[in-house]
Order: sequence, then C-alpha cells, then structure tokens
Amino acid sequence: MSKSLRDPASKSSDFGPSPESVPARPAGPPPSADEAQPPAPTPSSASGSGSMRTFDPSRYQVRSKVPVVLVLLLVVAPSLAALGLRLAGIDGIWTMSSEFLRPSTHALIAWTASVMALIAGLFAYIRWRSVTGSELETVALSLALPTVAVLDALHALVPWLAASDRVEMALALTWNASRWFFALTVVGGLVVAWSLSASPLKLRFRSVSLAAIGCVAFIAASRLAGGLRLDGSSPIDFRLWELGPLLILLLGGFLWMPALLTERRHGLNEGLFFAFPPLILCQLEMLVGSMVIGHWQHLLAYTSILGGALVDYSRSRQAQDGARQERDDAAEELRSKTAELARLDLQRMVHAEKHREAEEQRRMLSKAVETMSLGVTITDMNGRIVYVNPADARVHGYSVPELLGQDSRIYSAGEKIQRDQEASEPWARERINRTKSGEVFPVRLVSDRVRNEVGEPIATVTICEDIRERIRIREALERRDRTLEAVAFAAERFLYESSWEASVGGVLARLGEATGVHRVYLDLINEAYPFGVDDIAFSWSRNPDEELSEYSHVVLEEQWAMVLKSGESLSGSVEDLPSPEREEHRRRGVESFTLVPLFVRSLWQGYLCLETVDSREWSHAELEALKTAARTFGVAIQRRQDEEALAASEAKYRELLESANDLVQSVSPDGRFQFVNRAWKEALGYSDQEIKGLTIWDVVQPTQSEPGRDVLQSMMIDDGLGRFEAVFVGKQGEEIAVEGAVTCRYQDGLPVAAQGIFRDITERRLIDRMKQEFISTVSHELRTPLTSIIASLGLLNSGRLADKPERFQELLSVAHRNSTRLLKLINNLLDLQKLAARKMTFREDPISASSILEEAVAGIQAYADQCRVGLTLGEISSELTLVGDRDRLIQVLNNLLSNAIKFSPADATVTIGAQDREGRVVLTVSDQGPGIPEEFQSRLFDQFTQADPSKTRASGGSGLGLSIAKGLVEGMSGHISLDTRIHQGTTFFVELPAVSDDEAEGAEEPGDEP
Amino acid sequence: MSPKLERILLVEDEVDIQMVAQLALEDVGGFEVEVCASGVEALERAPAFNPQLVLLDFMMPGMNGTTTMTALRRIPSLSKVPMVFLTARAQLSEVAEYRRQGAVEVIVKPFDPMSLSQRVMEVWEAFHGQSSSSDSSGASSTPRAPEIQS
Repeated sequence: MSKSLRDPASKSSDFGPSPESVPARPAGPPPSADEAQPPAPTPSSASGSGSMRTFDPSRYQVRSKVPVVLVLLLVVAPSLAALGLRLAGIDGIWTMSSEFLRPSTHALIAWTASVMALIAGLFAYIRWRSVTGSELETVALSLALPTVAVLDALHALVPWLAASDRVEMALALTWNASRWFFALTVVGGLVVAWSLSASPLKLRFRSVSLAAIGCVAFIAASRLAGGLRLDGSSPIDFRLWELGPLLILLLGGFLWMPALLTERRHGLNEGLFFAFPPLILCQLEMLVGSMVIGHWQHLLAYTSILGGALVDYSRSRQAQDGARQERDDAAEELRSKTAELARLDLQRMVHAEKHREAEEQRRMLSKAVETMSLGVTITDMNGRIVYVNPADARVHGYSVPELLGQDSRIYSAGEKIQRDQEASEPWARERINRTKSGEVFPVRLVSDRVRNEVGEPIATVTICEDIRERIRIREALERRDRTLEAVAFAAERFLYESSWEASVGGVLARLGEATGVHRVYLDLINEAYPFGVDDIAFSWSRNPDEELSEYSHVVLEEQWAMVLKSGESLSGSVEDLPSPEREEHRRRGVESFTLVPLFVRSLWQGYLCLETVDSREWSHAELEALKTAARTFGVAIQRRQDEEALAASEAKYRELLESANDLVQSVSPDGRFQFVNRAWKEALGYSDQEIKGLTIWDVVQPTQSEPGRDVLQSMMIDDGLGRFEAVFVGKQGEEIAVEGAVTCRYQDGLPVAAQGIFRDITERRLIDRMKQEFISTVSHELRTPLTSIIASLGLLNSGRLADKPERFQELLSVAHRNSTRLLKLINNLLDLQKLAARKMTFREDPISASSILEEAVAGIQAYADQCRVGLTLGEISSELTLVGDRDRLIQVLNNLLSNAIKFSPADATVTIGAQDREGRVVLTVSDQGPGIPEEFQSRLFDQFTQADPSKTRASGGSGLGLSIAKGLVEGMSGHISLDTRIHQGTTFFVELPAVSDDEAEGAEEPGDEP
Repeated sequence: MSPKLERILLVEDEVDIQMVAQLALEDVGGFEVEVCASGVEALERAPAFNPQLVLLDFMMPGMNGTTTMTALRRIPSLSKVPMVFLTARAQLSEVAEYRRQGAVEVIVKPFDPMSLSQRVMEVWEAFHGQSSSSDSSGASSTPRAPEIQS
C-alpha cells in the first residue's frame, strides 16, 4: 500500500480498476484469511535492500509454501476427520444429514459459497483483463465462478422459492447444474489452454501421483467406511448424477491442472490447483450421500480459489510495485549519469576558458609592464636582474639586454642597501640612484616579493619612479604656499592699517623671506617715467646694508613694459637677457628675476620685482601666487586712492555744508546728532563737545500743529517731511524759528538718519513784525490828525454848533493844525522812503556854518519860546564852511533843535555850536534834558522810536525825526552821533566835510563814510 | 430795558481829539462827558465821576489803553462798566487783542462826530442786551471776555 501511495501514477497500468476497490480480505473462514496474507516484504527485508527494491523470487517461493501447507491441512484434515469419525462409528454426522437439510443451515453454507465464488470470479476477471497474452483457464474461471455463484445462491434459496413438494428436486437440480457447469467450464478451459499452449504443457508425474494417491486413498477409505457400517444396514445411496462432475474434476485435477500449474504458476492457478481435492471430495461425499461433508468440501474449494485469487492479486501488486520501482530507479540512474556527464563537460569548458583568460591577462599585464612609464625590475633571490622593463632601462641610461643578468646594485649610487632588511617585507623608500653615465637622481622604490605556491620567495619585483620632477614640484608648491601666506599677511596688514605705505615694507620683507629671493622691490610708474623706475617706491633686501638707490636709474625696456602691461609676468634667468641688460644685472649680482605686473582698477601701475643672486626656476604656481600678491598690492593702492577720493569728496561736501548759512543736521534714529554744521552750532550756541550729548528732543520743541507728535517720528515718517517750520531752542533757551525740509535716509529698508536743512527765519520774522509794526504806526500817525480834522470839520459842517459860534474858530484851528501836521508827516515819510531807496539827491554847496546855524535858530525860535526854552548860539568862526545841501541841513538841524527843545525842561537852554575838527565841521546841539537811557540809544535813530512817547504827543512828533536826520547827514557824507548823560543832557554831533582851503576843490567826493 | 446812558469817561491824550470828541458826545449826543488826558488822570477822576461807559484811546503816553482799562476795572464801582476803545490803531489783529483784553467794542478813528453818540448808544444797548440776557453775577468780567483775567 505504501508503494502505491508513493507512486500513484504508475499503479493502474496493469490492473485497470483501482486495486483499492477490491476487498483486500474475503469474508471467509479463518484459514482462507491466513492464506490470503499477501507475501509483502518484511520491514527488515525492505530496509536491507535499501532504496533499490528488487523482486526476490526465492523469498517468494519460500513463503508461498505456507498457504499451500495450510490449504492442504485445512482441506484434507476435515475429510480425514470425517473419515475417522465414520470409521469410529460415530454416526452422528450421517444421522444429522436429514437435519442438515434444514433450510437455514444449508442456506447459510450455500450462500457463503456463492458469495466466495462471486468474489473469486471477480478477481479472476480482473486478472483476465490485466494479463497480457491469453490465459484460457483464467477466462474459464471468470466465466464459471459467477455462474456457479448464481446457481449456488439459487440453491441456497430453493426452500423459500420452490414449492415444498418440489424442494428436494429443486435442490438437486440447482446443485448438479452448478457442479456440472463448473466442472465442464473449468476443466474445459484447462484442456483448451493446455492444447493451445505454444509448447504443450508437460504433465508432471509428481503432481499426478500425488493427486492420484490422495484420491484413490480417499475413495478406498470412503468405500471402506461405507462398507464397514456397524449396524449392517447399507445406507449408501449412490447419487449417480454426482458422478459426472466427479470424473471431470478428477481428470482435470490429475491431468491438466498440475501441468498448467508448473508452466503458468500464479496465485489463481495455485488456488485452483488446491481447490481440486476438496472439489473431488465434495463430489465423492455427495455421491455417497454425505451431504454435510460435501457441502463443507464445496465451501473449502471456493475458499482455496478465492485465496489463490487474493494471493495472485497481491503478487501482481507487488510485482507491479517492483517493476515501477525498477523503472524509477533506472530513470534516476539515467538522470544522475546525465548530470554527471554535463558537469564534467562544463568543467572542461570552464577550465579551457580560464586558461584562455589567464593567458590574455598575462599578455595584458606583460604589455602594461612593458609600456608603463615607471621602471620595473625583477630580480632573483641572488639579486640578479631577470627582467627589466624599457622604462627602467631608459631612466637609468641602459638598454634592456645590458641589464639582464646584472646585479641590481648596478643602480645604486653607492648607498648600501640593507638587503636582508628589505627582504623582510614589502617596502617603499626614496633613495638616490645612478645612471650609466654616473648621474645621480632621486627615485622612489616600491618592492615586494614574489612567492611560489608554498610561500617561498622566488623573486623580487621593484618599481622605480624618477621623482626629480615631483620633488621640484613639491618645492615649488611649498614656495607657493609660503608666498600665499605672505599674501594673506599682506592682505591682513593692508586691511587693518590705515596707511598702506606704513605696512608695505613689512609685507615686502615677508614676501622676500617666503619666496627665498634676495631682493624685492615695488616700482610704481608715473607720468615722467611711464615705463621705468624713477624711484624705487618700496624695497626689501636680504642684505640689510644694501643700498638700492642705484636702482633709481634703471629704466624698464619698453618691450618688457608692454609685456607687463598686458598682464603677463616676466621671469627667467639673467643669462637669457640680451647683452647690455645681462651686464647690468650681473653688475648687481642678479642671476634670476621675476617681474609681476601690478594693476589698479585694470590700469597698469607698476610691477613687483623679485631678484635672486643664484639661478633658480620660477614655477607656474609660484608665479600665480606672486600675481595674487601683486593684486593685493593693487587693491591696497586702490583702496588708498578710493579713501583719498572719498575723503576729498567728503571734505568738499563738508566744506559746502559748513560754509552754508543754513542750519544742516543729521539725526540718527535714536535722536542723536550725527552731524551739524557751523551755522547750526553758531545759531544754537553749542560746542562740538556739547553736541555729542545732545538729542533732537533737546533742541526742537514738539511740532506746534501736532503737539503730541514726536519730533523725530515726524522727521522719519513718510521719507521725511516737506517744508515745515519749527522752533529750535538754543543753549541759552533762546528760540530760533526755522523753516526747512527733512529727508530720511534709508539703508536696507531701515531709516538710518533724518537729514534736515533749516533756515533761521528769526530775523525774517522780526522784519515781518517790524513791517507790521511800521504799517500800524504809520496808519495810526495818519489817522490821528485826520480824526481831528474830520471831526472838527464834521461838527462845523453839521450846523449843530450854530448856537456856539465861539467854537467855530477853535474847530478851524484844530483842522488847520492837524492838516499841517499831516503834511509834515507825509513829507517825513516820503523823505524816509527816498532815503531808504537812495533816491534822494543832495546838493553840494559850500555853506557857512554860522549862517546856517543862525537860520536854523531863527526858524525854531517860535517853538522854543512856546516851550520856554532858551536858544544860545555859541562862538563860531566865520570862516568855518562846510559842504552840503542847505535845505537838508536846515531840516536836520530843525529836527535836532526841536527834539532838544521838546525834551528840555522849561527855562532850560539849548546850546548850538560849530567846531573845526581835522578838516571837518562838527555842528553841535546840546540840551539840558533828561538824557537818553542807555538801552534806548541803540535804537535812537530807528523809525518811530521814542524813549518817552508822552513828549512826542506833546510835540506832535512821530518818531521819524532822528531817523530822517541820520539819513540826511549820511546822505551828505556826514556822520551823526551823540553824547548823553542821564539828568544832565544830550549833545548831538553832526559831522560834515569842510570846504578845503583851496576853494577850487569845492566838489569833494562824498560818501567816504559808509 | 437798559438804563439811560448819561455819563461817559473819555480818556484821550490828543488835545484836539479831546475837544472834538467831547463836542460830539455832549452837543450831539447829550451825554455828560468827563475828559482825561491820561490813564493816571482817569484813575484819579473816575471814582468821583462814576461813569456808565468808558471810551479809551490806546496809544497814550504812560499807561496805554489796555493798561488803563485793567486798572480801571480794579475800581469796584467800575468793574462792570463797559469799556470801549476809540483808537486809530485798529488793524484786525489789534482789534482782536483789545477784545481779548476785555473791551466790549472798538470804535475806529477817524470817527464821524455826528454819529459817534449813536454808535456809543448802540454799544451801550448791545452791552446791556447781552448783559441782561446773561448771568448777572459775572462779577469782574464782561460777558464777552471770559478770559479777561489773563
């Protein structure tokens, strides 16, 4: 079963219908059950044979005898037992014969036989359909067994099917039909099978004799037993119709069955073979009427056939499994064989491919070594060169054949090679090698050992690199790095030093040290020497005692200047220079030099020169670093120029701002002053020091229109203010009205300053106020007399005073007097206007001082009398003559005299005089009045000013007199002044040009006084 | 109904104007006029005269018009008397200043002598019209000048 489970695909090939559908065990008696045990291999045999299960016929043979013996025992033993019983006279069996015929017992046995025949027939049929080739005995069985099964079933059921009077007959009929059919069919099949066999089956004596002995013995015994009946009655009742099948079966069982069995031995045949004895015995017993025994024999025969069929089925399954296993094993072997072959083939191919690749790789490596620029040498363990590549030979000045077989020390420049040490492990080192011509040069060597399969060194591979160029580059790079450090140093110095000239000396020294040169100098071109050195601007020398003054005569060749101007540097050895230049350099001990151009704002401005006293090369990297240095110098110079320009520009604008009369200020967002100009400081009275501590809130009142608004906020807001007015408060608390504009300066979107320009409008406001005052005063002065005139004339004109005629004259006088006063006022105003506009013209007549004074006194005498003031004319030289306009002078004197009289107390005296003072005539008017207060003196000559207006009212003065007098005197090239003492009196001096002694020069040029 | 205006104090330094103004007020208007040439004189004579209305010139020697007015107001009997300026100095800003100082009206010179009395009467009527309609307890100020103390 396990096999079929293991390989279900192959099981149906022989037996068609699934073997599982066939009952593995028939429901027969125990002997047949034992017989039916399939000779399955034991677990031990299974494990012993391993996975390769093979069919072992010998074992099958041994085991197949067990059922044979069992069958013999089971079949023969009852017969013998029955015989024994009969011989012993125990006649119960026979007497029981009539009871046996009881339907139930008989039916049970017959039915069982029927069922067994049916199952056996089924197996026979299976075999028939499965076996290739013709087995007629099997065909016969598969036909006979089902048929007899049906007949036996009918036989069993006869007592219930047939009428009671015919039961006996029906039983006999069905029984004999079954027996006859079976015997004829089976034996017939045997005979036909035997006859159709290709080589007619041989009858075996053993079988025949065995069967014959058994049957004869039995028959004899039976006969004997029948004859030995003890009671003497002979009950033997021969049932002759049983004789036919008996004979047929005897023939079949004795003759053909053994022959067939020997030739075609299989389970079914074996079962059939063993079924013949009970069949024959059954017929015998039936023949003699021993029906009980007969029926049992009948059942035994069927059991044998069924057992054989089961054994056959089992064997065929086993054989089937074995065949399948064999097939599987063969297939498996084939597969493994094929795989092995494939693997071997692949191995062979891989091996070939590897070999080819290794060969190619070797060629490639060989080519690489041959063509590489590094030298490669392979030496044996004795230090002999066994291989050298062309590069190695070339760099050492040999040819390859020259080197082969040489000791590798041929390369050494005398330096001992520690061979043992080197041999210890791979190593890399730099050393000095020697060429064939004896030249030595630095190399870098990398060596390693080549080892054989067991790790023993067999050769040394050495890679040799000429590092002359590398060392040269390394040194140049180191110099460049030092130069760049010097550049960084220069940049730092130039950045932090305000004056680049102060740091350039140190920078050149650093540069000189870094580059390892002997001299460094910086030459700046100028207009006088566009290509050369007028004067070395800055220099450094390794020798501190060296004087570079001789350089001042060196003029750069124009061709070199052009190269520098194009931005290229010049460097090289003095040897390469043309003769005169070479001599010139040699004279100074120069062997090598570099000139790096210096540009300021893309304009060539000079060059940086480095000189050495020994020859050397200038690497590209070094020259680039020097160019960077030159650029740093250029930037420093540019910065200085920018700063100068900026300072100049700033100074210019500062000067402009400082010289402005307007107030200029710049206020930071925190309110502090960043800048104020001179006018600002003067106007507010703060010193520079004080301004530092000031804020805008200290000097500006909140704006008048919006008192709560911060003044700074106002200034900053909306990009400053337009024109506006404000009031500054000076240091002394004085208010300064200003008008100006503020703009806000932004940086990165944030206000940084509020810049304002303001004009001091205090003066203008004062003037405005004075103008206003003047107009108001003039208006008042005009209206006052007009009031009197209009009122008096109005009263007269109204006629309301008709009853007061005495008032008429009085009112007319008022009108007249005030009209005169009005006229006088208007004249004064006109005079003032003319004076102010410088439109008044003055005659220049020689005037006698005495006469003019007398005239003036005469004109004012009436007023003096009215005021009870005396007028005294002093002693005056008749020759005293002055130059002036007589009418204007009278007007002046009149003003002065009327003032003097006006301010004199009653009974005082006003004194008039004239003196000669250094070629000029001074007229004096002195009074004994109260004097003029000091604070009023400065405004004395201003318009409409009076120290005590009450006096003006008393005299009808308007405050214009002195102002006009001053204007007139100055118009006549004179000068008016005064001397006043409180409570003592005042003296006015009118100084005018005198007529010179030479009368002819009367026309003196006026205006020498401002 | 305002009381009858009878007594007017005229403070004026110009002699001619004194005369014509007096004539205009007395002969045309029928008022009793007391003329003073200065503020000092006015202060001396006002208590005795007890004017019902004061006409003041502004431009006067010594005390000017506003000073005089302030001084007169300190006299208890005159504290409520209307003060009227009669001046030639009468630009708009100046008029505003007089009013601010407490003047109830400003009559500009030159004036018409025939209508001066009428003008004074109008001022008088207007003053009393306002005075009666307003709080009569306003002790030391004119109704038009609440800021008189300053």
